[in-house]
Amino acid sequence: MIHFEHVSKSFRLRSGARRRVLNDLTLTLPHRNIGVLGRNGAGKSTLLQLIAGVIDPNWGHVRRDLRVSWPIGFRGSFHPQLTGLENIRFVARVYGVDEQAVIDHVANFAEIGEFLNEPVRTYSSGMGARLAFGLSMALRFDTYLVDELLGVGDASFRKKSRAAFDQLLHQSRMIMVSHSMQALREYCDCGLLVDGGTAVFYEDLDEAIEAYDAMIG
Amino acid sequence: MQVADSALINDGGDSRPVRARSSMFAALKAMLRTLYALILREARVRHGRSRIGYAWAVVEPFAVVSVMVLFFSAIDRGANSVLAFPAFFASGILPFQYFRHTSSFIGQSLEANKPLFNYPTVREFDAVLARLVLESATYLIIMALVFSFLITFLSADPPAHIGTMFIGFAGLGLLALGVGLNIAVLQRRFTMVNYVYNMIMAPSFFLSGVFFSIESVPPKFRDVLVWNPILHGIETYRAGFYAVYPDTYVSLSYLCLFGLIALFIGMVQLKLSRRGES
Repeated sequence: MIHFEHVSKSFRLRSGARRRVLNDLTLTLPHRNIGVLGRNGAGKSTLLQLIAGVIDPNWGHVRRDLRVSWPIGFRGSFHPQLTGLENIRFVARVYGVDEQAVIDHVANFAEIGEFLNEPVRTYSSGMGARLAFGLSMALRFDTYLVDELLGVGDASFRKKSRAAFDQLLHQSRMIMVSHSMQALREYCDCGLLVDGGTAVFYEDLDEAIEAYDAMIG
Repeated sequence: MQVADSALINDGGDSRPVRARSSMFAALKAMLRTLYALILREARVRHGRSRIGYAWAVVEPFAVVSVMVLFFSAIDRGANSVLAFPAFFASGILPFQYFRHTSSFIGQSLEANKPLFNYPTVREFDAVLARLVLESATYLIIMALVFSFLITFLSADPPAHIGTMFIGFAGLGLLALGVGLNIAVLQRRFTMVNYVYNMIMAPSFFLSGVFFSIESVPPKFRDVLVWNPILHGIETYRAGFYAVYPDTYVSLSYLCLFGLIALFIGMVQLKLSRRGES
């Protein structure tokens, strides 16, 4: 379960004004596959970052009694001058898992061959995405956070990613932000609609989609 | 009953993932692990494009200090100094450079590692500590090299009280941590901080006891100079180098108090500045 307790989050804009994203949100998210919906800029990604615990609320607490992943497919942490292998090792060390096992898993999944020994700056964007996605799949979490990223790579890689994800979901759950109703329907059974500084949980995804459709008119 | 705090590899098995940071002990273990990963990464990245990589971090300051020692010794030749100049200067410039480089290096730690904070297990203070550990280790090697060089080629005496030198070194490390942390946090809101800090540090080179002993300064200047905390670190370090060295005006507790207060203010700032603000 993930608990939001009176969580408020706002950002300071360059002009000095503040933009409120969440306003006194109290909410409990069950351990299920949750699709997150909302307009652009409504705060979906911010919500995901609060769940991951990589940003702090201005007010309130987010409590989690589950092991939550970093946003899946995130590749900003890859240092361009380090090789793929070195970047993988860093994450394995941080999470305290066997480095070689992670390397084997990622090498097998990403299929970028000799490029693992090359600096990441030489990678094509497709290779970077494969590496990032493979690394995300190599570690086990209770809840995976997904931000619009299931569609990377070519058709065969997408198929492979999907198979990997399906297998993860035997034991783990995910919280997925997407504008694709098709993707949400495929993976999620309940929904979270983010709008106007708050978020409403729907037991049934279809209800959430209906509410979303009604909202955007 | 203590479960290890580690994610398991996805091997298709049915093992349950374990909870994160379930106790103080697990939290400490997680932090040490992150620290280790960060230190290796920083060492690797520092001179990433260069073939000899991290060796540059030792070679460059070593060369700079050696040239400075030789240069200022040549100028000083014939002056009536009681203490042999090369060793005197080396025991001032080394701790000074240690402080200067470490504080600026830590000052960049949050900005440089920003993407890594997207991993929930990597905390900001880990990045700060990693840089302190790495830079301290680097400077210990540089110091060993410079003194070996002086002892071998300029027949300097070996250090008399290595323990005291370590205490001065540690005091400067604490100060660098405190000052660097404040710079790192302030820098997120005011990009000017770095320029201001460099402006302060340029004259400090002449005001921190690199070239003189505080004992030999006329009282009216001394009363002002003793407020500079760096000077106390450098003089403690140097007092450790010589068998006998006048240290009436040197206060290690002033240095440590200054460092602890700076560290405390930095920690409070870090706590108050919420992640994801800008």
